Amino acid sequence: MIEVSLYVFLIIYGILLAIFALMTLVNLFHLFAYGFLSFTSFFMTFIFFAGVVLVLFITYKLGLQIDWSQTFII
Amino acid sequence: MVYWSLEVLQINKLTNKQFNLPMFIDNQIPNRQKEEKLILFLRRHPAILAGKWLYFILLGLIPLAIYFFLLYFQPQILRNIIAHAGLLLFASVYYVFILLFFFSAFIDFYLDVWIVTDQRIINIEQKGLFNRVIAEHSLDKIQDVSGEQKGIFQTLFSYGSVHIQTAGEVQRFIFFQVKNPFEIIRVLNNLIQKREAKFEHEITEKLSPPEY
Repeated sequence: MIEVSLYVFLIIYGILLAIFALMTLVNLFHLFAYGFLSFTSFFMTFIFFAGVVLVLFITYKLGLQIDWSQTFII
Repeated sequence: MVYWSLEVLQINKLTNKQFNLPMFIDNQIPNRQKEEKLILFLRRHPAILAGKWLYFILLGLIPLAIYFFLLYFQPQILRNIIAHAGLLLFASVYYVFILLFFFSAFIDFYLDVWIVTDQRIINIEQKGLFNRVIAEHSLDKIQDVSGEQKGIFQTLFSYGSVHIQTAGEVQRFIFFQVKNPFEIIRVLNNLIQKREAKFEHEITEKLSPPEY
């Protein structure tokens, strides 16, 4: 039996967000590298980032209500 | 916007009329030759992108459906702090990845282009994140152009594929899911005929005996 803190969830979450950030950078690289900069691509990039910021903000707000130092046994 | 396929065609009408291209389209024509004129700048039909986005929107509804299901039928699960924390982070990651796929679908759509100039056809395709293919063929090498519209959606939204048979190394070019494929075929055939007529005229001029 191992006692695990809820922080483990945050670590896994951080790793997944890092993968997400990497894939986002690759996508942005394509837009910039191949010269497809236009109003449409800027607008879509803005919508994408606005959505991501919104999701992360809601997660942060809801996450504040959780005591991440709590432990559970597996 | 002039860079939407047939809009370009309508402006140009295969005449010598000049028009200003957005700079980013101008940059997309690899090794642009002197006096080379853009005739068509094609992308897939926007309905294809809309279909993918609709799919992601439906995927985005799944966590909400699960949440409401748990709220009404298994509320004790949501009161469990571990399940609550886990579900919150899972939903967060799920939604950012849905947004990423949403964005990737747009980029995939946006970076796949087919360009027809008065001298050649150019195929630029983004296949996945790390694979980009650029191929081109002179109009002289085109042997056959055909098109198809299959199914109810393609007929309703008026899009389909154009198949171009060439004599080069890449023997078959396909413009996938482009708007008005039969109009594109007509334009390509006109271009080919124009080039053939020009070529014949040049040959006749060269072979004709000099006048004394």
